[in-house]
Amino acid sequence: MIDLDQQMREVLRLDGVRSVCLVHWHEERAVAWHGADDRALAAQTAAVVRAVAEGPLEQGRTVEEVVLTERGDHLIYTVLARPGLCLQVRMGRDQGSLGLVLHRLRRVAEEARPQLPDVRRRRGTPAPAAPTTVERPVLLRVLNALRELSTGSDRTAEVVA
Amino acid sequence: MANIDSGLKEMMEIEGAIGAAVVDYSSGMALGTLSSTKSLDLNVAAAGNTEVVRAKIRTTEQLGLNESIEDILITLSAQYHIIRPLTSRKGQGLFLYLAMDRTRGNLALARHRLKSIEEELDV
Repeated sequence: MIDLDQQMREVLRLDGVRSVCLVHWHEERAVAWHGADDRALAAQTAAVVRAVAEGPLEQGRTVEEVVLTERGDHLIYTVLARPGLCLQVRMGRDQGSLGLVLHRLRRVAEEARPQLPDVRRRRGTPAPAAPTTVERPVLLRVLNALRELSTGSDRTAEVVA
Repeated sequence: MANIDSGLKEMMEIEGAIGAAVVDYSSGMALGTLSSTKSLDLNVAAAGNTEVVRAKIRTTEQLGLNESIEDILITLSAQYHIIRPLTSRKGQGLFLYLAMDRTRGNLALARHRLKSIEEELDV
């Protein structure tokens, strides 16, 4: 098994590469990154990869990579075998070799079997709040209803609020 | 200067080319297409590529970036697809689209050729 994190660091060392991000394109977020903080670009990566992978272009073919060339940068999205994951690499247009970086990324994609990195909370950061609070009587009613279901009882009970 | 028809012919002369189109990404419709194979429906491909270009433009605006795309390369298992927005004033909202056979095509050469065809194209 290949250490994807280590591979990402090695890609970052290639000439011209400014950042390497592992992006979950279903969830539109950066899972891990090295180099410049380009996590904000994950939304764009997700939108473009989705447009290619879920559009009519695909038609049974596999999307391997997308390269966007802008005024100053190349943005490379290498789609990994693991569902929903791709590498987002930003490199300067006038530095390094796009061919070399693509060659390297193709090898990473062939070898990589990424595991989602540990996303434990850092010490001192607050616990995420529950999206809603639920009253205890509501929970009891749901629990009672579930119990009736599991006993297979066929009597119909009315819910008394 | 070349018109759309001769621009498409020049695109198809690129080694490995299997389909070429000029596409309006506000509608997703192709203004012209030329293809050497029946296996590629260029009108469907034009619509699909429009979604890619729109995704890029929409997210660039959302991120507040002032970046323009020069080209987009898409590598599929057997094909290369190249999208190149037109830069001329009359070409606003249009892009060139070239589909290539991956085993026969030369990506670097095709990008270079597409750039000069785009510069010469008059729509």
